[in-house]
Amino acid sequence: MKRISLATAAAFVALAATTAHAVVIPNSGNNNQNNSTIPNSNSSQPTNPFNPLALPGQDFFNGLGNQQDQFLTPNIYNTQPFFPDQGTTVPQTRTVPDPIATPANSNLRDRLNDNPNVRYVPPGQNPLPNQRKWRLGVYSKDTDTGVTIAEVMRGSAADRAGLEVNDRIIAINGYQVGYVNGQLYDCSTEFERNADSDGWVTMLVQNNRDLKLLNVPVQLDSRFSKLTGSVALDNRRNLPSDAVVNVELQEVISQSSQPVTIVSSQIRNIKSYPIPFSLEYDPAVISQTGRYVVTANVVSNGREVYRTAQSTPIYNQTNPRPIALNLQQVRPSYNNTRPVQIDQEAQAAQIVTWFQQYLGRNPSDKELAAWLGAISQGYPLSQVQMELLGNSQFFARCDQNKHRYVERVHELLIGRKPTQDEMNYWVARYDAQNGIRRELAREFQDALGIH
Amino acid sequence: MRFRGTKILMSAASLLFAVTTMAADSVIDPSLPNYQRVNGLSGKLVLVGSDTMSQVAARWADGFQQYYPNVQIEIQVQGSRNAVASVQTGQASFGLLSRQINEQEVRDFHAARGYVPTVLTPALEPLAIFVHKDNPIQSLTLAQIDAAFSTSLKRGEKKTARTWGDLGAQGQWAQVPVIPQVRSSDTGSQVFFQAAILGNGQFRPDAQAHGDNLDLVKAVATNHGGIGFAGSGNATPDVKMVPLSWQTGMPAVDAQTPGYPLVRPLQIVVNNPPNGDLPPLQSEFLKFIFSSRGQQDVVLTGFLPVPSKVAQKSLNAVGEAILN
Repeated sequence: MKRISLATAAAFVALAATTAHAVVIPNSGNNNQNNSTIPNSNSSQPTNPFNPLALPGQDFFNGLGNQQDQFLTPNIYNTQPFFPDQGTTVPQTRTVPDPIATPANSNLRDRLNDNPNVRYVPPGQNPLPNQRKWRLGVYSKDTDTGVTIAEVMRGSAADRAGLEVNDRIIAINGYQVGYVNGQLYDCSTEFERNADSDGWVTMLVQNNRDLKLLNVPVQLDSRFSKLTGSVALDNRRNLPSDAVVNVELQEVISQSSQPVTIVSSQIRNIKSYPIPFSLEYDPAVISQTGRYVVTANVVSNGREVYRTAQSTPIYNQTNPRPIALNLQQVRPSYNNTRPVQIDQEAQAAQIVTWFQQYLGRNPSDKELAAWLGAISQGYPLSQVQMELLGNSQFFARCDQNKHRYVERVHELLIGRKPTQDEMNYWVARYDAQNGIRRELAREFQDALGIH
Repeated sequence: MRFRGTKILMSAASLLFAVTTMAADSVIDPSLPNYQRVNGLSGKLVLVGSDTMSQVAARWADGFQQYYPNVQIEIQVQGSRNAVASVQTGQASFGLLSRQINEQEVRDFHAARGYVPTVLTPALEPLAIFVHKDNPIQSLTLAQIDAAFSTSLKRGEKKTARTWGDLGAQGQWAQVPVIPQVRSSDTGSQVFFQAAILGNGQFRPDAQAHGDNLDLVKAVATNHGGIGFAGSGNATPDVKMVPLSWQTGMPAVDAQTPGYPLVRPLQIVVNNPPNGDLPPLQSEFLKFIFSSRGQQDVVLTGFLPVPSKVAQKSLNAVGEAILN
């Protein structure tokens, strides 16, 4: 702690005298079977260091879940559903609020709120339900005596609040964080539960310099950054009504390799000109040392008709200025006559068709959503085909036999059974690929010019 | 064919409606960390292990190499058997296990290295309950599954389910006998199922045992009253996967939905010395597979993702700090 907090610190000296565990009990009384005092298979062999379930990395088996099952030990199955509206509705255990904890008061805010660059979720931006909104800006490790800060991001909420490496976060608005009775109460969840609409929380922190406890109000950073701007066409022609503008924020990896799409946005039903766009992204994926650009193109009638001649580099991450993109017309050529399937409905229809052809079933909502999400992050549609041909369910339908598998892929992609020579070639390729079927599917696609 | 085409389009349209009403990325835990690329990473990773896990690992390798074109990743499909030993000898950077590590493997590793291996769970494989495709059963509880397979009835059902009527089917299906299809006693799925569902109780003596999943699924497909279990990737059009609920009165979920009760952990074995750091290449790869991108890859290859807390604890276990 660079700055020493005010009066309330004294109140917590008393708290420091008790152990961290002692101040907290699970508060949903009917759910106390989640407490690690309940025996499970781990506790039957507490002293065996070779017990597979006691290995490092396996400790989440204890107490992560809120579903207790007598045999489905040790709780891996019982992980908490991410989405409260699905699955089970067992009440969540929570740490008990500390009666002494006080909400951040305005005086403290005034003292700390000296940085005009505070970021919060701007009005009009609607984070998805369940999506995380707040971030402190530290790399930290969860321990059973709190959350230890390993690194403070420059300019972050933690930096503004004066937090330092080795400071220990004990509680957030009175709720203990870290491992409590073997159960992880992570900071991020407590931020979401406790931050007010402007992102304010009060954290109980143990100062690394003198080990005293301090009550620190912090205004958290948003997990959303927004890039806005507009797209103009160099010849100012009207776009056809089916035109779709696709804008992407990309990370440039190297000259010779494809950039990675961080986020993309599609604009349809274009009404105004120049065409406004906005891209929302998590600022944490943008590193100080990386190179980032914004590119755009326009697709109409299944063909790319405009694209940015030069991508626009993004330098300032905290307060990006609006970007003006100028798109140039793309002349039809051998390279761009291949249809581009930008229409989400057409993509979904294609994915459903492949699921039916290859796996003999429809995709679940979740699977289709996952694929459409991946496509919007820049995965080509051909990759869906490749992954589905690599899917273990497709392999099961080929009797898990590589000859049958090669025959089926050949039939599906080329339209006929392979000759003996072809069969020999592809089975040799299957073996050369170590039986990684998606790689074989990729070779089939390459042979057919599917990209 | 014309009708079939119409059907495809209609189902696409109705699915699309479902998709557009929900967030595309809500399939994975929204609290999972986003991966941030670091500079100057190169070298080679060797992953050795099970066929099941290798298919996921190949997807991760692709995604990781998009960020790091100079990194080489070699995946050797040798089955779970060699996974731990090859990490122990240093031949592999990571081992891929589609079953639980066993105590002997831990002891051997410890004898060679002086410390135990770290075992992380980056993906879950749903174990499906298969019935004949015409079977009208809508869902089963874990106790009902126990009743269908066991005589020990440790989950508290009153009697072994001999007919589908005992499991709630009506009409003519109520008279159809329940014919349990199981694996031979030494296989991973059989051991797992016996522990997880039967509480290590006894299988029905008339259960039909099969050497592999394929035979088991075929037996369910050809036996009207058949019921069996296998990884959901073994599904064929001739069998139906039954949604499961934890107990009576709780909602049933299908095998593609996080929260499905019957899952096996797919595991990655890491050589993580207690007082040392992982090599940067290994640690970045683990950060990647436990990030939102890595977990999205898990969904795309047909498995279930892990919740954010498992990701956090796994990264904690290899000494990685979490961005909060």
